[in-house]
Amino acid sequence: MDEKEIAGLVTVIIVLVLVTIIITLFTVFVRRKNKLLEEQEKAKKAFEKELSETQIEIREETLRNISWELHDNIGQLMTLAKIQVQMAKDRPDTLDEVADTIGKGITELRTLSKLINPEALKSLDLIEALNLEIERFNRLEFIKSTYLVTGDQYNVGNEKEVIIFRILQEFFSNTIKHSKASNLNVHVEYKKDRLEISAKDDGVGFSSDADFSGIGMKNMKNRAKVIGADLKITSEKNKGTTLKLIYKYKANVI
Amino acid sequence: MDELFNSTFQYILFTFYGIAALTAVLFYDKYKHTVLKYFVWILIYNLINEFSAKYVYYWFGTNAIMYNVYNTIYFLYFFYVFWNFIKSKTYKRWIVYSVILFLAVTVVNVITINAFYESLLYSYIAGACLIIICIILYYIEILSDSRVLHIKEDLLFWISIGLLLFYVGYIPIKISRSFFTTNMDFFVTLYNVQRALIIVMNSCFIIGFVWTKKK
Repeated sequence: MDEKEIAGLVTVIIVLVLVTIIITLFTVFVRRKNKLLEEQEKAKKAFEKELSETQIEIREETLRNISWELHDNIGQLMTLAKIQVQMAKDRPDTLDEVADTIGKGITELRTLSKLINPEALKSLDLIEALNLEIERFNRLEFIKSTYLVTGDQYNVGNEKEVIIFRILQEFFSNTIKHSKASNLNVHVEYKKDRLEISAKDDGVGFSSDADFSGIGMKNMKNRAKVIGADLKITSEKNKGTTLKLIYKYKANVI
Repeated sequence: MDELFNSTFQYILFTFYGIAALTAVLFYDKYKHTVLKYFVWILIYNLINEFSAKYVYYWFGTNAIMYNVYNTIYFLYFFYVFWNFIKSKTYKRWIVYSVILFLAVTVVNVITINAFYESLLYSYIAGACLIIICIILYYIEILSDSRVLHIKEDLLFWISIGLLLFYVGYIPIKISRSFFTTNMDFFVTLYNVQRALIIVMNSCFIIGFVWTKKK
């Protein structure tokens, strides 16, 4: 084989190798891209499903709260007013008290009607929604609650806020229904790169794994996963339950 | 006929160098916030180097030193670029080892031959192979995260494709040429392949500059 042939051979080999590289790279990159797109599509669908379920649940919860509030708060005031009116038959000078009670009832009604106005609900952000929830607990004396927001507020997106709110709502309702706690502390902390929310009650807590795997718990975990947040719930028997939710801003930009 | 073909090919080659440098300058705004901003200087340096190398050869009979210096700077710059773009700490460490290896080979190579008259073959091969490894590491990394979705708009992706194709093709040419330096036919055939590779590489750069999007 003379040198000219070798040169030809080298050329052919180089061209073949280059063509192989191009084809391989192209295939690998396109496949990987399609796979990623598919995964994103799936994640998006899961997110939308969770979001719509969450919204329905929040609506149900709101209705339940309204019925509760009507019964416990305004209902009581009206009953009181009725009794006072009956008593006022004999002592007309107590009519002022009746007016006071009815006035209170009207104020409560107004607050309630403002709260359940869909427009107002829609424009609420996470901080305000949580604030209303905590205020309600204190007003109805379900549980003594404190609420603290620190750091500069960062907009994590309305849809994600809805899901975060629902996770916390679920936690609160567990606290009120099952924990027999008397104190609830909620701390929302906007850090530089993440949002940290911790909620702590001093109730009976739970220790068995069975409680951890309940449907409510599963839902909360699943939802945290869908928005890419880190959710930890720790509990100690007779000491209380703590929820810690960490949402990193940047890691979740799609 | 051969003469005409030869000089035409040479002009086409210079045109591609020129267009690459020109697009790099024109679209400088799109990538000036990354370390690739120095690439425009490399391309201009390359243009000047190629132009003047011809005259230096004409006057002094050799221009090996010019390419030796140019290649060393070129490799070191791209090690730096990949070190900068790759996020994984393990891969970064590998790149640091690559630089150390490359420098060691270069130093040995400079000591053993006269770098003024001869090209630093071993240094070049080491540099080219290590750059290929860096490119592969970079690809592995972009394949594993969402950067792959916008790969077409990624300048470094196009630059690395150009480099990869060029070096994979050029390393065997460089090696075989050092063994068959006497034969003119052999030299010419492979020289044309080399020019074709340079055109492909510069086309990749040009596409990269045009398609890249400011992030």
